[in-house]
Amino acid sequence: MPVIKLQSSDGEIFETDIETAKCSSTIKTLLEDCPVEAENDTLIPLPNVNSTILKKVLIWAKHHREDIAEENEEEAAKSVAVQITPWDAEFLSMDQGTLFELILAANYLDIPNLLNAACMTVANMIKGRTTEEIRQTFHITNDFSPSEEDLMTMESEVPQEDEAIEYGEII
Amino acid sequence: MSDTKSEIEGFIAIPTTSGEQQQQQPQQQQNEQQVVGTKDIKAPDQVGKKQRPRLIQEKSTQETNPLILEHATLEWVPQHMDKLLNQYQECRKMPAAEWLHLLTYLVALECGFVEEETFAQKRHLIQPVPSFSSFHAQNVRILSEQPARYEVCFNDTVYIMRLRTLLDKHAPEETSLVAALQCRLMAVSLGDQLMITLSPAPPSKEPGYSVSLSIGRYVLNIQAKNKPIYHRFRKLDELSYQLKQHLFQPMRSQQLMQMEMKLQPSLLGLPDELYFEIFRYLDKSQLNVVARVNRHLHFYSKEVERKRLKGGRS
Repeated sequence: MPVIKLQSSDGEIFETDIETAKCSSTIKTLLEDCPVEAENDTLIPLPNVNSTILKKVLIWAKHHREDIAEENEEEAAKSVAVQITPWDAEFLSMDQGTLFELILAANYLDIPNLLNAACMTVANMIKGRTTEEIRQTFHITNDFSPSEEDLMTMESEVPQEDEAIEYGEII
Repeated sequence: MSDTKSEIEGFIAIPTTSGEQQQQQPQQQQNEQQVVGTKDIKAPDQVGKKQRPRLIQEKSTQETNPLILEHATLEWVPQHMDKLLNQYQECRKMPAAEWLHLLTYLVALECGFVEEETFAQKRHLIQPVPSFSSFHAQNVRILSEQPARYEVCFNDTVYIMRLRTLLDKHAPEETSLVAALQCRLMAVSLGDQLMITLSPAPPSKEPGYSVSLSIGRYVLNIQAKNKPIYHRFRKLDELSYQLKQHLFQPMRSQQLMQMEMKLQPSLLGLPDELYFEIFRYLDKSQLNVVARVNRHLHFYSKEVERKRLKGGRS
């Protein structure tokens, strides 16, 4: 199988087969811009992805190579409702900094399924938590003024209008 | 402590003795019994732990060239770890707490921090580290060629190191902004615990971060003969996670916010489109909770709500 070399932002080089690398639309586009005869043993620089993250991306891509090949656009549209697989859940069990770096890398490399899974992981870290718990989880400082907080409290106490109701024009 | 260690070392050596030697040296049997007693009373966990074959849990594939501490094994360690530890070959009797402090420094290097004096000496060799990243393999290897510089205080129970965060070449060099990149790493040995604190340099009023680690969980008191020093270390994946999650990642994120670096690997430093990617999995009540966290998230959660309303009516 044809092999390409990917160079991370910190100079590390990783070899992988082309089919695995093509899960990234960014890499796929770069490959398409290469001459056909040069496709084998091509070195592709990825200035926005460091070596540790690129290594993780390749591990994920290798595991999901068959999944990606079978997926079509219709299935991709349905993937929003798909739960994270146990393998992905374990793979994405990492410190926050690494997780967000992976999200940024998946966004840059344009790997929709990895991006979805990683973003879903962050969303799951938010669900079920109070405002203060979210601050503690993500080390966020509350920068609202007391008056702003009071205003938001009042807004939250106002009954929400039924979204289904649409007000017509008064004649 | 040294007597206990000596006895344990003697115990380790005995199993390799042949039966004939045992018969000729009855004193060793007596020593073995004494050591067994010592083991039972004082350090059963430590003796048991030495039999573990790997630094981390079994994995289907071995990392033959690990880049970070998290992936180290008994057979393979990252180059920077090997480089740094090689400088302490003559210090094998260093306290376990101090070894744990050195491991903390290695994780700091992986997270884009560097000891200040080392930075001053090596800055001409160091590559820029963008705000959206933290690890730089070449930088880590270069910096680990220098011994860690830190103060040892209070009867060798406190270790203090001054760190600086690495950034890209566009980072300003104004005094006030440089100060924002500085912090102090303090490790205090309290019995079997090492309290590690990472604090911004004064006069900053930003919060610091701390974590408490069990020394014996990560560094064994037993040093096997003719084995590299890293055979004393255990659970490096867990250690790496604890330090990154509770110390270095939040501090670096805080510093980047002070530098007004908008793009960074945190919930507050993402491109606009990624907030929609994350928040689309949250229902309305969850978005309302997020909106109350801070102004930044308030803006994006309200944007998501507006988009949903707009999409619902179209």
